[in-house]
Formats: sequence, C-alpha cells, structure tokens
Amino acid sequence: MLAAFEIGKRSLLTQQRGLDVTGNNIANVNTPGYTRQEALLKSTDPFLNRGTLIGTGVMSDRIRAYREQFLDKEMRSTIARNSGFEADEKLIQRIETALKEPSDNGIDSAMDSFFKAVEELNSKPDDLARRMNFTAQAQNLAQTFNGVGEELSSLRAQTYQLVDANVQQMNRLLGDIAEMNKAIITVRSNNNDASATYLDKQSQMLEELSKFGDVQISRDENGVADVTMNGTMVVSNINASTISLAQDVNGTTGEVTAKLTIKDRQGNVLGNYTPQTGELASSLKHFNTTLDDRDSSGGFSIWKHIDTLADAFATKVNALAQTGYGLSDTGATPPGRTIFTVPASGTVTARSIAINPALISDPSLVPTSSAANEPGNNDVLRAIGQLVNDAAFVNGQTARSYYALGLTKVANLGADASNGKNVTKLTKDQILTQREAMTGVNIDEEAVNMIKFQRAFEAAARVISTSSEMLQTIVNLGK
Amino acid sequence: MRLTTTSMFSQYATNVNEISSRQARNQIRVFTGKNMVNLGDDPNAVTNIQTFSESISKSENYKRNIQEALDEQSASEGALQGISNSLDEIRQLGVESLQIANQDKLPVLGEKLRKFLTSLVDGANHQYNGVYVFSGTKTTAASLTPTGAETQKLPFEIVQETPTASNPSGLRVTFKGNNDERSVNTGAHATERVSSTAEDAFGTGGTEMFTNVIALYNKLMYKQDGTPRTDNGDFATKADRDNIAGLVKHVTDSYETLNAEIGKLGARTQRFDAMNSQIDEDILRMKEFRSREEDTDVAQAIMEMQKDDLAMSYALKVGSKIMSQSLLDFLR
Repeated sequence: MLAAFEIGKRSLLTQQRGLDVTGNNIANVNTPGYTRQEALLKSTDPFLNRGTLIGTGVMSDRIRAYREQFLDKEMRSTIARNSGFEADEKLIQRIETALKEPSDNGIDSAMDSFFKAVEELNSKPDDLARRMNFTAQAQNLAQTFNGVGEELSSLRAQTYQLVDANVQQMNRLLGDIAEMNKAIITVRSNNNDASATYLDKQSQMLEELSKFGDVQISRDENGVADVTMNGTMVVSNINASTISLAQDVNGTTGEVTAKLTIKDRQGNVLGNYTPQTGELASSLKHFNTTLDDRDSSGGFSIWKHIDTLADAFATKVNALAQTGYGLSDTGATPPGRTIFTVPASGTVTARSIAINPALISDPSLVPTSSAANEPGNNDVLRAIGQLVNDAAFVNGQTARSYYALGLTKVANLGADASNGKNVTKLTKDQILTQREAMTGVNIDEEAVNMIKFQRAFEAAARVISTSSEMLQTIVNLGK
Repeated sequence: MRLTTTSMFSQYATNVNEISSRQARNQIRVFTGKNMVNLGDDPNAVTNIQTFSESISKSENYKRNIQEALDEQSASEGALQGISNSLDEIRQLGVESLQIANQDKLPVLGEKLRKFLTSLVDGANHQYNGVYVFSGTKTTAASLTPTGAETQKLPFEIVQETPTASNPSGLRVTFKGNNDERSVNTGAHATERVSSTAEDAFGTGGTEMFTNVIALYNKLMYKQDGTPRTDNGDFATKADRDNIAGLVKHVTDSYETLNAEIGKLGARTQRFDAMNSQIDEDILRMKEFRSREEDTDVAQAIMEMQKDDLAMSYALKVGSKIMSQSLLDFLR
C-alpha cells in the first residue's frame, strides 16, 4: 500500500519536471540560438515481489536538447558567405555613392560638361564669356575628381576602422568561447543538465564568429569546442589566441596594406590569418584592393582607376595646352601654360588635380591658338576637343570609355555581391528552417505537452489521494 | 515537416520584407523614371548607357558647332552678297563710262564709284557675333595693329598714300587680318572650316578686288598723264577707253571670284544642313536606344506595384489570421 505513495510522489515530481521543461521551452520560444529541450522519462527499476516484478513508477534522469551538428556546420559556413556578400554589397553601394553614379553629378557628367565647354569655346575662341565658362567647367571637373578622390580615401579609412572593429569583436568572441568551454567542462564534471544552455550559447558565439570569417570547429564528447582558422588553432580547450591587425607599408611604392596575424597569449606569432569568406574577408579585400590607390595585387581598384584617369586627363590636356597661346600672348614660342597644375611628383591624382589658378583670374590666358595674336585661331583647343575621341587616351581607351569600364566593374562587383547575398540568404533560410524543424519550439506542441503533464500530475495526485483514502479505510477497520 | 513558431514568424517576416522591398524599388523606378536604382542592378546596361550618353553628348556638341557655323555662314553670305551687289554697281559704272554719251562725265562716275568703294570696305569689315568674318584668325580689333598710313583697328581700311604715276589718287585698301581658315570640330576626328578667307572672297592677298576697283577709279578720275579730269568736256581718249575696258574686265573677274565664294558658302551651308539632319537622326536614335536601357517601363512598373500591393494585403490578412491563434487560445 505504501508503495503507491512513493509511485505517486515520483510521478508528481517527474510531471512537474516535465512541466518545468515545457515552461522553459515556451519562455525561450523567441530566444535566438535556443534549442528545444525535452525531459526524458523512464520507468524506475521494478522490484520482485513473490516472483512478480512490480513497477515502481517514473523518473526523469536527463534533459535532452535537440542539436544537429551537421546543420550547425552548414549554418556557420553559410553565415560566413552571406555576411561577406552583405558587407560587399554595403561597401559597393557606398562606392557608388562616392562616385555619385548613376546620376548627373559624377565624373562622367563633369567630363561631358568640360568637352561641351571646349566645343562652345571652339566656335568663338575670342569670347571671354565662353573662356570663363571653359575655366569654370575645367574647375568643376577637377573638383569632381577631388570630391570622388576624397570620398574614396575616407571610405578606405573607414574600411580600416571596420577591419579593426571586426578584429576586436573576433577577439572578444574567441575569449568568450574559451570561457564557455570552461563553463561546459565545469557543469559536465558536476553532471549538470545546465550544459545544454551553455552549448546553445557556445553555438551562438560560434555562429557570430563565423560572420567575420571562415572557422573550423571540432568538439569533444562533452561539447568543448576547439576553433581553427587558416589551419591555426585559435581556441584550444580553455585557451584563446588573439588576432592582431597591422599595416604593412611597401618601402618602394608606399602601398599600405592591412595584415592579420594570430598570436598566442604570450604574443608569439602563430601564423598569418587570411579569411576567405565573411565580413572581415570582405573588409580586408576592399581595403587591400578595391580601395587601394597604389594597389599592386593586380585586382581591380576603383580608386587607382580614377587616379589613372585624372592623371591621363591632366597629362593629355596639358600636353596640348602647352603648345598654345592665350589671347594676349606674344612671341614666337608658346608660354607653355597648362590647364591643370602638375604637382612636384609629376603624377596627378584624383585628389590633387586642380586647374591652373592663373586661368581662373584671367580666362584670356587659356591657350587656344597655335600662333600668337590670333584670337580666332582655335587649333589647340580643337585638338583638345578631339581628345574626347582619342582611343589611346588612357589604357587604350577613350576617357569616358575608361571611366565607364570602371563603373561596369563596380556594377559587376555590386551585382555579384547582391546575387551572392540573395543566394546565400536563401540557403541560410533553408538551413534555418531545417534546423528549426528539428530544434525549434512550437507553441502548440508545448501547449499539448503542458496539458499532458498537467493531466498526469492530476492523475498522480489522485493516486496519492486514493491511496490515502484506502489507507484511511484500513486504519478505520481497527476502530 | 515540423513547423516551429520561430520559423513561421521568420518566414512570414522574410516574405513581407521581400514584398516591401520590391514595392520600394518599383516606387523609386516610377518616381525617378530610371530603371536602374544601383549600378549593380544591370552591369551590362551601365556600359551601354554610358556609351549612348557619350555618343549623344558628342553629337549634341557637334550639332551646336554646326548650328553656330551655319549662323556665321549665313552672316558671311549676306555680307558677301552685299559686296557683290556693290561690285556689280561698280562694274555697271565701268560699262557706263565706256558709252559715248558719258565720255565727258567720267569724274562724276568716278565719284559715284568712290562711294561704292567705301561700302565694299564696310562689307569686308562685316562683324558677326563680335567677330570680323573675313579677317582670318585675327578676329578681334585688339589683334589688328595699324601700321604706316593706317589709323583704324579694322581688317580692311582705305588709306590715303602719296599719289604716284601708277596710282594718281594715292588710295589703297590695306588688309590687317590673315588668310588662315577658322574651323570647328564636326565629328570624331572631323573638322569643317567655317570662315571665308579674304583671299578666297576678294582675290590675291585679300585686296585684289579693291585694287582693281581703285585702278578703275583712277582711270575715271585721272587722265593718262596723271592730272585730274574736269567735268567740263574733258573727253576720254581711245587709250583711256581701252584701259577702262580692261579694268572693267578685272572688276568682272573679281565679281566672279566673289560669286564663286558665295556659291561655295551655299554649298557648305547645304552640307552643314545635311550634317545637322543626320546628327538629329543619330541623336534621336541613340536616345531611343538609351531610353530602352535606362528608362522605366512605367506601365509594367505600376502593374508590378499593384500586384505587390495585392500580395501585401493578402499576406497581412492571412498573417493576422494565422499568427494570432494557437492552441493556447482554445484552452480553458
């Protein structure tokens, strides 16, 4: 008779535990990274009574968390690729903003206005108003180049800051993962079920880490994760290495590139880190190539492209202008006046290109004529006007075709990033759905579980109360 | 497949976001009239649009050059026509002076011719839009420097020099400009001259026509020995008449040279007109091509917007119905 009390008590405790787990699942329905848990019930060992095995009730000795290692791995890899494409897309859009394309305020439009002013002046080279318009458009072109150059320079500086911020976040995460490993080891040694919660947090940290770069994870039987990057272990058990960012300056070209190294806790370099996917890979790639004005990697640099165009523009226009005479110039030799100033280095960049200030203050000095004292002579200016058709203006192309080529390359980078982002987002969503199907919480399901445990709890209580009544009846027999 | 609350909500949010994002893009397309919101929307179109824009803009520049050239041609043609008329009058005066009835009136005819000479020079100094059209590349007053007996900063000037046996009046028309052509760009690597040089219009050195007229003037006003004719029966001799006939022939030659230049101007004007029409057609065609790449198909964009509006309202309706209910709503 007294065994029934024990069975009822066990059942009450077990159903209560089941309800606790259900409640925890419901409470975490919206918690990112949470995997649903289940109280595993099993019958307690029976006892032998006069040759018959009698059941002794129920117990819950373990809480199971629904975890799928393969999907976790796929998710990390997809997150890395998706974050990389997202970062690419954001940066390319910022480059488009810097270039002011597509719009009527970019370099193409400024070049167009410059050549238009050249042709207008060609029709009447002695007209001061047209000369002023020419100098204004030349200045506008130079300032548009300057603006784009400054924007790209600033974007590069911001990209470096982003790399730095990414590295700091990665280092924080590496430290946190090592700490989490420590916590998992501790709770496991105490045989505590709370490790499921720590594993959830650890998985979330690993996914957060994957946003920045590709990482390889290996876990032991307790769930302790070792993290490897580029073949170098960065988290080993409870020890974390750090990633270090430094600028590498080429002594010959002056090219500045960013370099990542992995260091142990003592500061010893364990290896270089070159992420292939992820946000950090994207930022690093754009800092070292797309936005590198002195890029020597052979990749496409929009800043270098614009600088090359600015240099070709100044060089070609100046070469012709130096053979010309202004309205008031005399003598058998041209004054050698340029339209754009040339810095001491001899190389003009988008940031440094500027109109010859003498032309602004006195537009009559604009060299248009091939002979002195011939205001109607536009030989030099006509040649400048024909530069728009010069198929060898820069790198075997016309100025505007070369610029269009740069825009197309940016457009292709943008399209690749956008397509890549969409595809990886789709993959990510699919993996998330698959993983959710296995590990996620369903409120309806939990409500059913709640009723199940509630009813079982009520029944167990009834067992106890019925047993009590029976016991009472037996006690009363003796009265 | 097991569906969870999170996956249901996240799927729903993703879908609603996607519709919203499509709506936003279509709105931008309709508002701006441009199909491309970002360069990455269509990399191929970027190259095409840039190529068409470059061609359109170059053609527009050349068209403007041709239009300005046409205006100057028209002004030059008008000025040359005026000079031609005056020269024809001078030729008529020369022919009249050969008639027997006018043999004692040569100085009167000479005075009339002198006035025409002034109008010839005025015509040769014609300005269009502040430019001396027959002065070569020395188009402004500042570039014309008077020397010797010259006093004015004009391309052509009648100067009074010391009379000589060959030029008893001492009159001479000088030319301070040059005979360089002025040209403009009218196409890729193509230039067209827009000016008539003095030499083309007025003969050798740009002054031959004036020299011929002055020679005729001298013959009408002065006798063989260089003394001035008087109005009172100072009859022309046969030698005078032969000389005058020869000079009228020279003036006629100048007249023909001038008219030939007017003809050339007319031909050039026709060519410019043809080029203008061709460029107009090119611009129209290229704008059409660019429009296909660049501009929004408004009808299609609006239809897509309406489709998305419908999808959005159904998504919200269905969402509000499904998302708001769970088993918990039915438990008592």
